[in-house]
Amino acid sequence: MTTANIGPSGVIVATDGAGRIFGADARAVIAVQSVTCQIHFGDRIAIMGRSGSGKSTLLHLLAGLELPTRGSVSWPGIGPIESLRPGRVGIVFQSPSLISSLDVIENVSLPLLLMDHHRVDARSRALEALEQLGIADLAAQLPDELSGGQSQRVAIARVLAQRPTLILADEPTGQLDRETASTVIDTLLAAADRSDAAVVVSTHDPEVAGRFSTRWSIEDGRLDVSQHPTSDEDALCSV
Amino acid sequence: MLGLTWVISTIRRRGGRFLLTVGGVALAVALLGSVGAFLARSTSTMTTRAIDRVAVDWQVEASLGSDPNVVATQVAGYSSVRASETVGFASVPGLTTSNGTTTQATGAGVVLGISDSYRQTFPSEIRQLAGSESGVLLAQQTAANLRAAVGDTIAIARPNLEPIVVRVDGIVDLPQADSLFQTVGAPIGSQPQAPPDNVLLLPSAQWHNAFDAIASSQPDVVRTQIHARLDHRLPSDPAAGFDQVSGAARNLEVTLAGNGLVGNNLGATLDAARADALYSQVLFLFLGLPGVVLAFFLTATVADASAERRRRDQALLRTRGATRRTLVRLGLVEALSVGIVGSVVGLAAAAVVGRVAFGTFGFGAGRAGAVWMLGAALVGLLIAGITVGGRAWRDARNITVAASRLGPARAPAPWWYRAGVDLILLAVGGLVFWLTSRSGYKLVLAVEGLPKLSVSYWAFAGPSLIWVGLSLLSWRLTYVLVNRGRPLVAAMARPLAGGLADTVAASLQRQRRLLARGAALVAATLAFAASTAVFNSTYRQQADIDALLSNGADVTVTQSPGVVVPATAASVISAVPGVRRVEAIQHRFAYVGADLQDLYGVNPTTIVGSTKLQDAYFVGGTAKALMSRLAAQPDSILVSEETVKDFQLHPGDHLTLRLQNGQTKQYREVPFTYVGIAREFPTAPHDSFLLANANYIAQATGTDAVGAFLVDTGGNNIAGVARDLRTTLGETAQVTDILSSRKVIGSSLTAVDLAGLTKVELGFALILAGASTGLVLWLGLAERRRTWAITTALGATSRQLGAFVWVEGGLVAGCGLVAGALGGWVVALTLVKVLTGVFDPAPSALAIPWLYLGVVGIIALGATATATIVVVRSARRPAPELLRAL
Repeated sequence: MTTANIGPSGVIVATDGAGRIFGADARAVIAVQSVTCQIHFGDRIAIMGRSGSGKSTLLHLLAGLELPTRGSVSWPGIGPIESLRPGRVGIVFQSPSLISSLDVIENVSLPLLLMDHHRVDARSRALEALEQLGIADLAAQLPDELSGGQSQRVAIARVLAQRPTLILADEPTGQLDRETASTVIDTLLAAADRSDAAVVVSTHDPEVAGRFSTRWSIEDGRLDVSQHPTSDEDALCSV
Repeated sequence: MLGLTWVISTIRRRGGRFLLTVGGVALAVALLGSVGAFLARSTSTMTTRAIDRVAVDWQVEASLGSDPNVVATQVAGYSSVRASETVGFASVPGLTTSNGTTTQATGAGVVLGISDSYRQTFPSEIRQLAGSESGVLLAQQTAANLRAAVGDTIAIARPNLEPIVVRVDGIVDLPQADSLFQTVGAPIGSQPQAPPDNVLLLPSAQWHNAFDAIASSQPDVVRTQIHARLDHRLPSDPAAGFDQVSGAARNLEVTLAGNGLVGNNLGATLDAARADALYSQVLFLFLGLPGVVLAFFLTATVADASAERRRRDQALLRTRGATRRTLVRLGLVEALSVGIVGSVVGLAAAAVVGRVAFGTFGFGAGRAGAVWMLGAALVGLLIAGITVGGRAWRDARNITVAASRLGPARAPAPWWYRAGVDLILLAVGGLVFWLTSRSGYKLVLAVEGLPKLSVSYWAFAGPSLIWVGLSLLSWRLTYVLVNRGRPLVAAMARPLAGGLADTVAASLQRQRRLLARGAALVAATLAFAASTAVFNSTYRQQADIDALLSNGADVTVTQSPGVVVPATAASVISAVPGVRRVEAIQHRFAYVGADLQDLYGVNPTTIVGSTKLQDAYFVGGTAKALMSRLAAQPDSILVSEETVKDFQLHPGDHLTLRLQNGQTKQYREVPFTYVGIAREFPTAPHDSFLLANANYIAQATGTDAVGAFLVDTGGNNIAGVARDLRTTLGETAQVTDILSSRKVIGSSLTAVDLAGLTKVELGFALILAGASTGLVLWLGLAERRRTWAITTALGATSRQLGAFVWVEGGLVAGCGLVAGALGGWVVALTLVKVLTGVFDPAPSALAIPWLYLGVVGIIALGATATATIVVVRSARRPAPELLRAL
């Protein structure tokens, strides 16, 4: 068992031997194997691994989008699973995942409306998030009018507008050029700094990973934190 | 090989969609196969029934001066004649009977001479009522006129000879007296208006003894006919049967070389049946084809729903070197697979429908049914080819990367919308309908000089264009509502969506084409179901009214002419078990100028409740209002349109008729006041008649003698009550019931076939209603499962997710239901108008089958709710593979 301290303060999410298996019997596919870890407020974690190594599934478990088939996941810093989304946990998917029938500002403000924000307030916060990412001029565009990079920035803005406690991003810069990717990561980290949120990203890009204080690797569903131990003593993660 | 791999892969990866596409094709094939095979069987039934209805196929009358024996030999030897009998007709001045104290005499009559085997050869011509089946037989009405019974003696007056006296052996009825006593060779307008009142039948030898002497001295008084029964192996189509029988009759006349004329009773009946057969074709076109069109669009919608994935697959294949030709070939292989499987399933379903609805797998339609089934299967292949293959062909040829990126939100309105095709269709449909109405909605045309009948297909254009136009108009209105009426949609969505209402409305606005298409399909289907149901219901109502009009009531007791029965005799009838109510109707004759017309005296206060009087029977007021007028003003009278025209009458004009006094038998003038027109009335003839207050007539004529009693049984045990009444009343009155009347007046089309057709069509309409609402909605929603997965991943609760789905489902179902109900009403109205020729009498109002329409509505809403619930539930927990694809 490997352990590591990751974070100065309280635990947002903790996994205890959490695993995720798809299918059953001979056709069973083990996506994530027995992960035990804790993520604290203010953590900056990059998870690196090849395609199919289990990065996305691990993020989905941390976001409460999927339930573990063994072990458990809990969110002591947030509350029960029902209270995670919208608002407390924001997730940026691998592809932009915008709703094609809503324009940019409607896409960004949707989670806020789901949180029962007044529509004026929701639009205001959505516009603010778009401005942070430098794409406020795209507010009235429809998703099919945007480039891949623009769409991904809108998806990030959708998360930032919620001001979540935990930001999970699944290869958020995969469709961006290096310069834009750097800007997006800057924005993401700055936004997280303002709200003391934890940020966990999965990435192939060592340069992106290098922007994060903690770097884990994952292979065949096994999370390995030993390659890049963090200097923080408070965070602990074991596999 | 690649094609097979493609199809197997399609079935494995998109098995549900494949099956749904197959289902659409199967639905069209099953509907077409069922209705077509059923109609093929119906036309065959029409021919059989026409043959069964005719007692004597041909009545060949020997010409004056010809030798009847020669004619009889020629007829008997004619190729299609299977049996023949010689019948003598002698016109006599009268018949007399005497019981020792009183003597009863009749006016002119006819004495028939028939052989002993005649009744075996033509069993339907003579119906036994009492006494012996052979010997001297007296017609029932004549027996009543003479007050004669079995065993009585009757003197037959003979022109210029001594009367002969015969003893009555039996009393009979002559059900087909009209054709029996026709003037052979005379045109329809010159036929006698009624058969003779007095008829006596003698054995052939006795007849010859009595009239052979007259035949030589007064040949115009005595005639000889050869009655023939033909080979009934005729073509199943009544039109072909008519051609064959008519051709044979003309050929026989040529063979007889002027020695005889053929009265073609079978041909006349087949002539009527071939018109019915054409009407059944019309009904098929009106009621069956829209269902097939809807099944086509349903299949197209299902095929379109998976078009996006097919495009992605095609793009992948193209990157691996597949040519457009290969892609088109793969599309055609897929279409062929869908078409073959769909057709086989559809034919199996049609067979099951035939078994369930009609008790036979093949509808009993034989070869014609098999042809229909084959045709249906070909249509199934065509539908699959157009919807699946055509779509694949278009995609392979036209889809570019830029076009594939163009989502529904920015897709422009279709060309027909911009060109206003829906409005043009409605305008043209209305114009055609108006033009058709000017010609009196004649659908089945008998062009002068041509023996063939034809259908005015032009008349179909009105309701068809209106149906298509209204469906497209519902597309337009839904599109405009969602696009321009976004605040209104948001306001409507707010109770369900709360703070999300504006976002929901925005999302719907950008899905406007999809929503409009769904609503239009729902509207078209519901309009089809509603108009079919309303038409069928109205048709059934009018068929019942027709039978009621002919028979008067459930059971009608008609007094024989000359028999005086007071109104108090109703008590005898009332005493028969099962009789709920008895209404007496007087029947007199009155001179209007020099014209003798039937006069009916009714009790205006009770007649309304005794029989279903239709407003369409009258002009100048409703049935109720005019009966009230007769009650309030006893000298009121309703006359025919012809009388009004002949005498230039205006409401309130005084009219003096001459009526026979019951005591003195003298005609005297009776004043009446003209108040309105009567076109039809139960038991009354279709031509001119008069209708007045019974009490007034009784006062004016000195007698309340009743012509007929209308007996209400409440629709229960009609045949039993009629049988008991016949037993109770004996031969003094004729008892008819509405069940027999339906069979007599109803052609095969009205009597049975439409009922079966209705079952099939309404059943398919229900399936279409469910499919077009639930299935189409589910497909539209399921196609956006990625959207729902994103919304769920963002944290939407079931209620919030449901707001999107329910508002969309409600909008499609709501717009479709409203437009469908309106469209159904308009199409039913035009359909009933255009098919006026089918109705007799014309309906005064549409009959609305509320139960069926309620079931359609429940199915549509239930399917919508089910589709919506399924989508919400599946979206709450998106499949892992869907989440990984985000």
